[in-house]
Amino acid sequence: MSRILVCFFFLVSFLCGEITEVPGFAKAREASAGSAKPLVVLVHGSSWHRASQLFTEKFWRAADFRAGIARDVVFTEIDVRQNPKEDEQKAFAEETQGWDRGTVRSFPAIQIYGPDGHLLESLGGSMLRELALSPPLVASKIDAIAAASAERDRLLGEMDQFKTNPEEAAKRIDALCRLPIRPETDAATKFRALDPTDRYGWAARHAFGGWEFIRATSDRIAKGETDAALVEVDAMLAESAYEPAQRCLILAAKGMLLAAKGEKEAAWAAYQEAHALDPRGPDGKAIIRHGYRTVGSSIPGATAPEG
Amino acid sequence: MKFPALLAILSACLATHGMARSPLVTAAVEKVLAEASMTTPEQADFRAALLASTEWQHEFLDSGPLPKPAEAMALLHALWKSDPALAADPIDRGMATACALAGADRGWDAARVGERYVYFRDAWDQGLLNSMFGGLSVFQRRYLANGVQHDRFNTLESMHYQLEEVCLPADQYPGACWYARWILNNPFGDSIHGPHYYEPFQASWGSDAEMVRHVGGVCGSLSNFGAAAAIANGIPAATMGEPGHCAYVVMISPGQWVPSYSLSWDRGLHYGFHGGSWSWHVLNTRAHEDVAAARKSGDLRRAATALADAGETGKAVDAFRRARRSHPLDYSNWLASAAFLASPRVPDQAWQDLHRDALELLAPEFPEVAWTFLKSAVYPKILPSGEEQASKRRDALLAFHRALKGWGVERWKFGEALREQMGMVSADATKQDEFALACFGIHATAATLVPPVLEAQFAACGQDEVRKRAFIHQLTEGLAKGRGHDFDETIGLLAARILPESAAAGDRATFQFLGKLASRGYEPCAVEVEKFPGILLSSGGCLSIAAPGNQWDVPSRHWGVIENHGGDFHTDSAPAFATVQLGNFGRLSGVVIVQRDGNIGRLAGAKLQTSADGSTWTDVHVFENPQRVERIDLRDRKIDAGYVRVLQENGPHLHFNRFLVFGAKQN
Repeated sequence: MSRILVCFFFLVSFLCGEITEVPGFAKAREASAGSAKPLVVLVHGSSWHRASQLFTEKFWRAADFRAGIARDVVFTEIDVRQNPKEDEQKAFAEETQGWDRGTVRSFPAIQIYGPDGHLLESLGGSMLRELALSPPLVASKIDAIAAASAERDRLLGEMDQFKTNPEEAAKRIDALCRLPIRPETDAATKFRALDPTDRYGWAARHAFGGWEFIRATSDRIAKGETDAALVEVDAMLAESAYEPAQRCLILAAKGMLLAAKGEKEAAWAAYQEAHALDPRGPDGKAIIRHGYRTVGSSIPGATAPEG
Repeated sequence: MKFPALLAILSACLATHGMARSPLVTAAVEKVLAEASMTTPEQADFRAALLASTEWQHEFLDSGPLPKPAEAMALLHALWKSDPALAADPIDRGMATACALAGADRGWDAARVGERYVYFRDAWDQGLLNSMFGGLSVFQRRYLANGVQHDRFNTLESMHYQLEEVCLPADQYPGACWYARWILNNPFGDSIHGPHYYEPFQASWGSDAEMVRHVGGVCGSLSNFGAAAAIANGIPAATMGEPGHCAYVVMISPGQWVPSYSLSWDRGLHYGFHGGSWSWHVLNTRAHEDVAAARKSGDLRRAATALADAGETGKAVDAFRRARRSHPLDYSNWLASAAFLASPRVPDQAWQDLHRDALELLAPEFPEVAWTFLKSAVYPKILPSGEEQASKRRDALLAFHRALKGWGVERWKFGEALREQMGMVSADATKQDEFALACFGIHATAATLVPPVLEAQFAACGQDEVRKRAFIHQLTEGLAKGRGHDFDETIGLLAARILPESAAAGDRATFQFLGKLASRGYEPCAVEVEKFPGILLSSGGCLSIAAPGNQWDVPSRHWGVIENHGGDFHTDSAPAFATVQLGNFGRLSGVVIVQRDGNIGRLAGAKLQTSADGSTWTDVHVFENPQRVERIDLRDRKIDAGYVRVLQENGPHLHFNRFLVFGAKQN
């Protein structure tokens, strides 16, 4: 019986990750770098926000949540005060040296950093509150990011080996950019030399500006560069590099350019094609509404969008 | 003595001695219940709950002005009906009362008000609101209940979005407006000033707050977003208008209201009481910081009103006076005093007392509030009419100025008030000028209000240069007799305002008189110069420059530049020029220029020119490799001139400590 129990506890500890708790962000970051483990940071405001306090006490520190984390990670907490006095501000600055509060837009929040300090993910707002309905969900999310962090470290580690082999380097860069974590902050600078021809389209995807591309298209129309812009947009659409969400915006830009040339039916077709790629998302809805107002409403048989 | 009068005296005593029970409070609430027709058997439980709680009655009556009591009571009843348990919970009760009061202000129906109440009740119960929410007074909760200017942010969807996505410590809400991007056009190129900016995105997200966060906007959207985020999380806030801009204010800790995304002192809050400016906001929020004091103020006012209703005029006069003197920040006391004094049989002395009390208790810290009150309620009663009474009106209005202590809590439209006062004194320009001069004399020692006095007077002078110069002459004579740091500061301010104007007009007398006075305020130039033969022709003249008074230029120091004292100027406009109208017309022997230390190369390529009449110019020298000190020898050139200038066509900047012109006098 005792042997069975020993085996059971051994199995459980094997399945659970090791959580190293280090108070103070600066020290925790050192520990993360030193141990090559991701750093998981709870940012809370327990002194002024009861929900933060409940989350911290009943969730974050709860055994069932921690038991659900399978990977080895470092944990720390940052308690952000309300109206801190000068001495409190000073102490806070020292304790959180190196911390970037920028991605914490609502409290509480969980940030996950790679051992090299790269911010892998930031969970907060409604996303965190929905996950927090189930501790295993949050644990598995952290696990997934930690796993992606390990994969990232492996891929980055292999880059050096393939400096003279663009095909292998390109595969790894592409895999890195497709990981479900925040993108590398300076991917173009880091990797352009390794894969100058952008074999797998990672650079095109990374550089695509989203709605800023739409804004730039408006500017080009205003400057009278419609024809040149249309040629570029068609070239982008011929590429297979772009994700569906990006193609949606590129098609919207095509619709704008065709409308500017007076080709209303072709423009409306482009808007509809864009919408079909993201019919329920905010981008698709905005594009079809704009398209209907500017061209669709004057085309016989065109259907007004819902809402 | 009549029973109501006895009751009023008893209540006043109880209020004065801080005893909680006040029958007048209950009587006042009963009166409102009757006005709201809350007298049916169906409403009996509500009436009983309300009348059983003096606390609740005070919350209803003494949490700020009550312009629509019956409407507010009806809304409060509707809230209680949907949630009778609120009566037993101080926080829920306070929020419900605030929602009823604000809902009445806004003309909302019960459903709308109920929605907001339930939002705050449930969010608090779930621990989602900022902890500050628990300690707010009903007055402060009115800001939460009211919401913001742009109704799109007041919907439940928007509030829930901001509760989840913009949950911050209170001191960080002044920065919350930047969650959205400031951008004039949407990505499709549609301007914020047109109807299509947000139109494509209306169905994209679950709320307008989320839409604004993703799409962006300009100051109106951003400020409303910031204020609404604070409110959704239980922190009082309000949007406010500024000239050409929309800003907001957040209460980041009890009693500390912080203007946010604010560019000007000239603010008008979109939710406020009695008046909308910043001064009014500070007055009102301070009046309600101490809840017990606000209730006491209400008790005293109710007691005074009861005495008035009972016909006890003399006692009522004293009681209203006691109320406003004990609680001068409660503007309702001033309004109630004025309303009562307007009734017959009130002695004239009472109006004089009211006048004096306003000057003593309001004017020093809240001059704008005092002016508003005096203008609307007191001056019409105490200022005699007729041109022969102008001096009495002048004296009464000067008493206002004597009561001021600078700007008070915030700048306000003092200049506009002064122009109004000048008109109230008399239609005659001489009397107006005497009044302005007297105002100047009152404010000259403190200096703070001197510039708006000058502006108001100059505006009154309009195009009448004779009138303007006579005024300047009179006030500078007065200043010349003054001594000490405060006068020097005033002289400096005056010189900064007047010297450029007088130089541009060729008014050497004013330039010299005021410039010399102002030189007491700065050190002489330490750079020695080698003079040219003859006298200093520039002395006694005046100096005009391009763009005087710019960020690098102090016009009060212009006089010294052309005199032995030394001074400085700095232009900031291309082509840059510095023109000396000589004190004496003369045959020039030479010019000495001492540049300000630093960037001396800016003089390169500039021309030295002379003129007899200030209109036709002749080049006499080009500065090629300028040094700090430039001496231009003109002895052999036989130049007769009344004007000398340096003109730099290649850039906006010239900056000298000395610009001295020597020669032989020829006039």
